[in-house]
Amino acid sequence: MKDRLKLLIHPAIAIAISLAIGALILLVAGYDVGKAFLAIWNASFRNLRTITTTFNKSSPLLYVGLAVAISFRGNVFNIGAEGQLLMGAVFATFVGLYLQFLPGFLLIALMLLAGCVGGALWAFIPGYLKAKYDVSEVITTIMFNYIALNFIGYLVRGPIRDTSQAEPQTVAIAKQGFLPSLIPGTPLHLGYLLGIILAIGLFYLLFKTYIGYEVRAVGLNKSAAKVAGINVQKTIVGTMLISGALAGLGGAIELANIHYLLEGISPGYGFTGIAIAVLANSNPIGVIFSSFLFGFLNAGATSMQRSAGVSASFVQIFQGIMIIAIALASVNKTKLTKKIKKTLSQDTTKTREVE
Amino acid sequence: MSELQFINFLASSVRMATPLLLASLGLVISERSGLINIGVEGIMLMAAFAGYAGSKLAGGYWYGLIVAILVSMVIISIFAVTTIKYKSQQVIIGAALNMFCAGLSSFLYRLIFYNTGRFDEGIAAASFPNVSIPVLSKIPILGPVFFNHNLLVYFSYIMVIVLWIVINKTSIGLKVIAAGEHPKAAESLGINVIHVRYLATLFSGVMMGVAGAYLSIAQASSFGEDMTSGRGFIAMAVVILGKWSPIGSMFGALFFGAATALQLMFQITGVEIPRNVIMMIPYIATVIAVLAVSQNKVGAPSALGVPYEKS
Repeated sequence: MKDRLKLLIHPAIAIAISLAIGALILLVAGYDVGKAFLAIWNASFRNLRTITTTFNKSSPLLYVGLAVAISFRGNVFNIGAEGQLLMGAVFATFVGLYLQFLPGFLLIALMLLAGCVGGALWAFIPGYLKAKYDVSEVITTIMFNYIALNFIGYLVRGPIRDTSQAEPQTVAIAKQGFLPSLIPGTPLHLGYLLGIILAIGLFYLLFKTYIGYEVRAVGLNKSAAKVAGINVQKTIVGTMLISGALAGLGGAIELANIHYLLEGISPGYGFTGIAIAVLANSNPIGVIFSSFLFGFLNAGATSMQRSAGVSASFVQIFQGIMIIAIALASVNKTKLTKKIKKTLSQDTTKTREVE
Repeated sequence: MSELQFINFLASSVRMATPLLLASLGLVISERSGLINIGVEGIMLMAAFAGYAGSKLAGGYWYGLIVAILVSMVIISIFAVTTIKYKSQQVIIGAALNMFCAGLSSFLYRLIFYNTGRFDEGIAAASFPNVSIPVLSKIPILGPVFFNHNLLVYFSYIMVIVLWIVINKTSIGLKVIAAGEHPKAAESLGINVIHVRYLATLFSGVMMGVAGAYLSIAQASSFGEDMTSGRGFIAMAVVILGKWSPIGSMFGALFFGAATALQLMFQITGVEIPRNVIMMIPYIATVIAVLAVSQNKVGAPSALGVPYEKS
């Protein structure tokens, strides 16, 4: 119980510090801090409509947060959740556009499956290159982000563009492929519930199954894992595959939520996923809460821009500060415990000397 | 391709290589000392903004350069303290800095230039002019390709030589390498690994500052949100390709410079390939290049990314 409490204290401190620094930046920049924060709050919690919008906004974040979290557990730095999400959305778009004859349930299921495949494929290549040739996954996943973004740019300007629109985008997918709402009349959709179930499933996978044990063992110490008989290369590729599939699924769900493909389908969700995973200490259950926090911020960002004139990029500043704060908060603990241990051992030696 | 087009292509390759070279030279030093900093992308972006703001508000590109370097050093100090002193995961802090800088540069750009109407006073900021080197610039082909650029381009090549000498011929270089190769042994020889890593990181901040300033007040005279578009990350690939040496990085940077110049040339000459497909070239080239040298990582510091714990 005490340990569980500790798990909550660090994120709480980090959030508080980030809020304080964020407020300071707004203050220095000459904004009305109260008004800005109130705008975020109002946009997210005022009524059922805004609350469900917040859940809607945190849905893709839940998936990318889980994707990054599992990769961190396996000590692979998947900075490419963004690209994997985009490829998931692309694959789902093709299903939604070209398998229009399918009934709703089947179409949605196939779209989500396609999203998983797209994301997994986009993560497989960097994962394979890392496992087989020791190519840094950090660089390859980042490059794959840019390639995916340009690929969408090519698709929505070229082969599958909806020419009736001024902005480059595709036509809407088949109507029966739209994600059904959980509470009729609100933007809270089935995808969010699925994400919660996945988070719990992933927690179980990570901490209660042999696969999860392998992932964590490789993440903690590669050579020890090898000695213990774990196929390290296979585990690295596997971790990337699960991670990519989760991000791709998030992309498919976002696509089924907004109904057509466009270049800006992800305003950097994949990168927010890093912040979410760090804040949650890469714990899938924690990701549920931290992704909600960022969904809340994202939902509030536009309203903050409208009513207080603060540019929406403020949320990015906030994310960056938060990651650094949480990284520092968790380190300080170990430093502190070390210090305590050291003083204790010194004290005991002293007492011995006295004796 | 005509001869003139070819010369233009080569000269453009040199121009496109410069920001990559500047950033990668900084990275060579900090990685040699044992730190891997993916925040380079964001730091360059923030420096690009600072360079633009400095040049525009103070009215001169030298001011812009100084402001860019200072801002870059301040931000990289965050990386240095969190990773060296508090031993946080370097990749995670780097990723955090990328978000922070992307947000902050856009936030400040809108705050200072967009909302106040100063934006309307004309977008261009004073930027480094081309300086033709007498005599040398008259050499056919080599002249226009290498000796008709702005000062920062020349600076980057001077730094290649300076850093090569520092790494290979001086005790400072030895200390940096020792800190990255075998910090424990280095400490036992009386080298202060922590200090060396701080200094190497700060130096890399200076180079990232110049690299960012190059984008906004040498290559262009304006700032655009996300104007680095992955160049910082590509600079990291340049370091790998160049096997952690300044001269290797020079060739690596020229390779990617050529890939970018090729992409630009395709866009201008209107080849029948969609723009987005052409724009993938440098990124795909990066993956292939990193893969090509993966089996032969000579020069990779063995303590790269490993925090140093004083015993």
